[in-house]
Order: sequence, then C-alpha cells, then structure tokens
Amino acid sequence: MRTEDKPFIHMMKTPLSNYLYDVNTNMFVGLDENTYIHLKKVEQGECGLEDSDDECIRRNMDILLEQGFLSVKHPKEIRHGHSDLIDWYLNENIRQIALQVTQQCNFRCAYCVYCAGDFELQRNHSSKRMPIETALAAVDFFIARCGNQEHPAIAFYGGEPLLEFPIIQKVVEYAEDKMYGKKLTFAITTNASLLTVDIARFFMEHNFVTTISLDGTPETHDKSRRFANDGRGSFAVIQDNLKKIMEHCPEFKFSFNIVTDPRFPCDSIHQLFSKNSLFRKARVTSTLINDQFSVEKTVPGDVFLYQHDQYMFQSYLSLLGIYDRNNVSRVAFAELISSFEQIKDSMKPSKSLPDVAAPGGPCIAGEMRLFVNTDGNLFPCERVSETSEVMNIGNLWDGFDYSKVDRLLNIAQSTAEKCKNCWAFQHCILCCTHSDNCGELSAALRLSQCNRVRAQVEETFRNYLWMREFDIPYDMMKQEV
Amino acid sequence: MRMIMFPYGSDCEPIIRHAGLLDANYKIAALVSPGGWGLAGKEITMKNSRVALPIYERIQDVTEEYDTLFIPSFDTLDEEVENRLVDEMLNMISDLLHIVCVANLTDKNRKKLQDACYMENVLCNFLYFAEDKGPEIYGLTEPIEKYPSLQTLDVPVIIVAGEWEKTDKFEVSLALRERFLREGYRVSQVGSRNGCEMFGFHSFPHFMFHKEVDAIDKIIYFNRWIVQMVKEEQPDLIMITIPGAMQNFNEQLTRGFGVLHHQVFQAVIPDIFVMCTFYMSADEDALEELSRICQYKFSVPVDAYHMSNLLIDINESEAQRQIITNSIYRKSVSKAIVENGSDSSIPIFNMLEQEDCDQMVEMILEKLTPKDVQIVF
Repeated sequence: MRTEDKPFIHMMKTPLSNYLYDVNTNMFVGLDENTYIHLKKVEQGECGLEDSDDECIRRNMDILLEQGFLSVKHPKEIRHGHSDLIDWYLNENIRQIALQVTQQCNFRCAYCVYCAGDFELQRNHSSKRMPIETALAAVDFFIARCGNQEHPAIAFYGGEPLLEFPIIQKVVEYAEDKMYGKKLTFAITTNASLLTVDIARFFMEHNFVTTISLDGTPETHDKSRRFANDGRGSFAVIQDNLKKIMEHCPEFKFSFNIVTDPRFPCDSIHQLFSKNSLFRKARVTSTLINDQFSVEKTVPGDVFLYQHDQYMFQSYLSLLGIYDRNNVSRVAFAELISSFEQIKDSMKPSKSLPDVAAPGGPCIAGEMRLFVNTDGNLFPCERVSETSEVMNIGNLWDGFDYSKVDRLLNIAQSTAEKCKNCWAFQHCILCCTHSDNCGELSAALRLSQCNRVRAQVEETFRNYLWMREFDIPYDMMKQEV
Repeated sequence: MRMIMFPYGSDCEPIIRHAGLLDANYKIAALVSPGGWGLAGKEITMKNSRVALPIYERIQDVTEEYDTLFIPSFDTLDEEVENRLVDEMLNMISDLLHIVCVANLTDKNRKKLQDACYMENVLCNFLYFAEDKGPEIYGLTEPIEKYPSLQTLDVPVIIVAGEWEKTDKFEVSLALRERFLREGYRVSQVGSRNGCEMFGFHSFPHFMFHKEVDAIDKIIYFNRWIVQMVKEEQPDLIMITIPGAMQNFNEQLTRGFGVLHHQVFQAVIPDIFVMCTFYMSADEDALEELSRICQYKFSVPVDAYHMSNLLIDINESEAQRQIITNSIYRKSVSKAIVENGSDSSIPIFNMLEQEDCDQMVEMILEKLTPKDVQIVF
C-alpha cells in the first residue's frame, strides 16, 4: 500500500491497553485488542482499512472515520508557520538575552564542552572577556528588540560568569536604569565557587534567578568538577560557600542543575538532593552529559540505568499513593514532572495537519534566549557551537542575518520527505543544533537521530497514557512538586 | 493645555493617530515612553498630518513646551513598576499647571499625586472608571418598575466590540468617527476607554461597573441613558464601543465572561455590528463561526470584521493563566486579509489602512440607507 493511501497513524500499547495515535488530530484513541491488531496491520501496510471479515472491526473503522480519525493527509510542504514573522519576532519580541561575560573558567570539568581535547566541535576556554562597551551595547540591542515582552530577562553565562562580577554589576545597574517601566529579571548559572554572602545579597536585591551547577555527592561531583589551577575537587568549597550564605541570608533562593554522567552509578546523586538538609531545599533539574560536540559518545552503564529506572518507578508509585512521597528521589520526581509538562503542552488536538507545516523542534533562533558571545556575535542560544559558521546569526552592530535564521527555523526542509511521513511529526525535538556538522547543516546527521527521537516520543506517550489510565490529575502532580 | 503624555505605550497609538479629534483645549506636545517599553527613540505620525512626534525616553529630555501631564491608561502587572513611573511623574510636578489622569492607579499612588499637586498648586483631574458611581450622576433618577420595558431608538446604532482586549476597538471607533464627522453626520458616541470626553464624546458609563447595581437595572439604565442622549444630542447615528472581551477564552481565561456585552446588546439593538478579532491567517471558517456565536449570544450577526495585529500565544497564556499576546507588524494583517480573506462572506478590514476604512464606511452607509423602493425587472 502506498504511503499516501495509508492512514497517518501510529499504534502503541501500554501494559493495560491498546492505542491508536492519530497524527492529524494529535489525539489518542483506546482500542480493543482485535481492532488494535487490525490497525497495526494497516499501519504496516499489510492490509487496507476495510480488509477485515470481522463485522465489529469494520464498524469500528466506520466510527473512527466518522469522528475524523484515520485521515491519510500528510503535510504537502515543510515550512514553519512563523517564517514570515521572523523579522517581527527578532525586532520586538526577544524574551531573554544571555551574555557570555567571559570565556574563562576556574574549573576544568571532565565533560565540559569548552575544554580542549576531546570536544573538537566547540570553542575552548580562553582568557577572552566581554568588554563593558560590548556588554552595554548588548543591553541596548535587547532593549530595542524586547518591546513586546512583559517580563524581559538578562542572563549571565560563561565560562564562569562570577569571574567577571564587576561587569555583571555594571550591566545590572545600566539595564535597570534604561529599562525602567518593565519588571526585569536577571539569571545566572554559576559553579558557586566564587559565590559569597555579598554576591548573594546583590542577587536578591536585583531579582536574580540563580542556578548552581552541582553534580552530587563529593565523590561524584569531584570526579568531574575540578579546579583548573590544582585539579582538586570543588565540592567542599561550594558546600562551605552555601553554608555561609544560608547562615547570613537564609532567604536567598537558588536551584541546582545536575549534569549526570550515565557511565557511573547515580544512587548517591538521588540520595544527596533528597536527604541532605542543605541541598534538599532548592529546586533541582538534571540533564545528561551533552556529547553533541564530543567525538566520543557517552554510553550509559547498566548500573546507572537500573538505579535511574528504580527511582523513576518509585516516583510513579508515589503518584498512585502506594509509595511514600517523602522517600521518593526529588531528582527523579522532577524528571517525571518535566516529562509530563512537555507532553501536556504538546497534546493539543487539531482538526488536521495543515498543508504547509513544520515538525516540532526548532524555535526562531535568538527569540527565546539570544546568546551574545564576548565578541558581540549572536547565536540562537548558549547550547550551539560558537565556532560554527551556520549558527552565527549576526552581531550587535549589523543586527540579525534573517536568511540564516530562516534556514535554521526551517531546518526540516533538508529532510522534508522523511519528516512529512513521520508519525512523531508534531512531537519532534530536533532543532538546528542537531544538524550542525562542523559548521554545516547536515541532513544525514539529522536523520541519524530520528530513531532515538521516536523512541523518546513513544516513551513520553506511554507516560502520558499511563497518567490518563490511572486518572491522575495534572494539577495534583504540580501540587506535589 | 499643552500636554506631555507619560507613560506612552502602544495602547496610546489611537489617541495620537486621531489627535485631530481631540477637544480644541488639548494639544499633545510630547510623548515620553519608559525605556523598557521599546518605543523611545521612535516617532509617530498623526493621521492626516505630516507632523511626526518623537518619543522621548525621559521626561527631562523633552524640549517642547508643556504645562500639562496626561497620564493615559497603562497596564503594569507589577506594583513596583507603577511606583517607579509615579516617582517620575512626581519629579516633574513643579513644571506643571494641570494633570489629567485616565489611568487606574493604585489608591496609594493616586493619593501621592493628589498630595503633590495640592502642595504645588497643580490642578489634578482623575478620569477613570470608578466602581462607586451610580446611575444618578447621569441624571437617571427614575425608579425602575417591577417589569421594566426597553425604549426603542429611531436612530441607527453601530456597536463595535472585540473578541478580546487590545483588538483595536478604540482605533476602529475613532477611525469611524473621523469619517462620519467628515461626511457631515452628527455622531453620538460611547467609548470603551476612560477620558473619552477629551475627544468630545462619552466614556462608558460608570454605573455599568457598579457592583451594587442589579444586572437587569444596568440594562434598563443603559437603554434610558442612550435614549436620553439621543434626545439631548439629536444625532444622525449612535456608535457604542464595548470595553473588554465578548466572551471568555476558555475555562481558565474568563475576563468578565462577556457579561457587559450581553447587557449592552440587551439594552440596545444595533443596526451594524463591527467585531474586532485577533490576528489569524484570515481563517474564514473561524470568522463565520464567530459570527454564528454572536448570533446565538447577542441575537446579532457580525456585519464586518476588523482584524487586529494581536496574535495569541496559546501555550504561554495557559501556563500563565492570562492571555499572552504578541502585537505583530500591521503589514502582516493586510497581507493575511489579501491572501486568505478576500472571499469571506463577511468582509474583513484592516482599519488602520485608509482604503479599508473608506470601504467599511461605505459598507455601513449602504446598509443603513433605507431601501423603500425595490426595483423589480
């Protein structure tokens, strides 16, 4: 059967039920076993919708068709719906700007993408710092382009941004003066080795959102996060700094970001952020090591996978009320909620896919979190490679290169035929950075990640359906957090 | 009065574009917009004028002469931000003779301004929707009988309403007013904002927001008020613009549930209904559906649409439990109408374009012209 004659669907099972995911309507339909088996064959091209002797199945097909499911429609052209509004978004609606105040760092983390050696596709640490004139020009650039935003934000990034605290102070003072009339927020991601009580007070006075990078217990953390000058682990210094801050300004709020190396066990990470009084107060987010720019890819170890699944399972059980919520890992629970948030936002029903559409994934480069490096060059966000020519979308003095932004937004045009026929179309997470192959946008690189993404989407679907099967209201989960 | 307008935001654009309609006492000398609002350094041109007003970032930068501070309505979601803006105003009071304020400031900030004006001998006039002003201040003192009836109007009525806030209702009503006045019609008008008296017409009546006036009484009072207006002003037509949103957006985003709209449509039956919508890619099905909803809710279908440049961000709106919108470039609206809306059974206009404005007025006049004689071939 030809692709264009097959209904655009994906069949899947959970331990309790069978489902049809209808791509056009972006909805799930629960099915009995026989109907599921029939549609599974249809999906695989083994038979047509009407090819069944079972009257019950044929009736079900009629019902599904009547209700608008099983459409054979696929997008005809790949083009993002906001393509014609790029100039508006980038001239009026930038949400956040992230300033790379320095390329230097006082740490040399084993997995850091900026460390020389293994990470060939990204810049290296250097002594480059952002001149104050550039930093203020970046604020002016932002002011001129965030008029539509109620809550604009300026973030400080590095290297380690606190190495350039005087620049941060000047930028904050300048931005608050120039941007009066708006509620301005600042954000910083720091390794906290230079965080003092005075700096914490400054952050509180100026509406900062502070994220501290910490990877777990001393053994786990110090394995990767070491000082550049003598190679010693940094956990003890960070812990001392936080203790002092909590003693002198207990109302200081911050969150932790954990970078997990899945080659090692994760038990101690879950324990630290759930049990230790200093660490359990803060919000926690966790990510796996980013090996996008690394030659050697990270393969999760068996012990990590076992422990991770165990903590996730306990989180699920706690939602059902059969496992004590107080004994659940906060790291795992946060991951669970984050996964639900993501799927909830993307499960919006639609009549059908439009003729012209683009798969999920790309954003308008620079609109969400415009990254400005020390030289004043502009990048979509801090996650892309600064050495990649295709990711450089302009500079502070000449403005944006809209044609490049359009190309990054419409990256799926490079894989159009595959994307048009992919059941994960609306839930894809591949953006321009996933196609960046040493400064060129590569369709092959993008396609090489499709199986991983589809597996991830299917896993997220299962979690969502599980939540629906057990009738757990989303609001209840949020309260738990 | 030579007015400096502060804080100037994009919501004030209709006031400047149609400044020619302002009462002769009011002259706009300068605009000042807080740095964070992204307008400082730009210019705005008044309609039918070559004069471009520069938008200053600070009050102290203004070089034009002024004697009055005009404080327009402005939205700040944060009290600290309002305090900061009021501090800027307090710093300039000694240079002023008057303050005209249509912003709904906090009680604390209003008192701060009043006290400062008193100390500096500055005349201070607050024109905002007050929820404690009843119908009696509009001369509506007749008691309402147990089963009241409505009085009919023999003057054509145009109602301008919006799918949501900030969909250009004020702009549309001013554009229509300008054209009708130019054609020589006498127009009695009720505006959706505070301080419409500066333009020589009525602000929406306070009693419609009064918490202690019964819902049915509001309908009767509004009807009587319009009838009274017709008697006093002898207009050729009446134009009413209803503030706020015509209905809730969804369960989370309710914004008045369209109750005010229901009351007005019960009080006055329009001959022409102009609906201001969100920006959409001129989706004809959606617009026809919207007209059907109006037919069911208010017993009146839509005669014409104005498409605003307000694009709704559904995901952000639901996350923040308030409507989060983006005001896209105006040129995109005209493009969407031309590309997708030209075959719509209900005409779609972009009233910021002169040609569209002319066409809508032509359409309204055509509809309102009595057709006593039918030519049969």
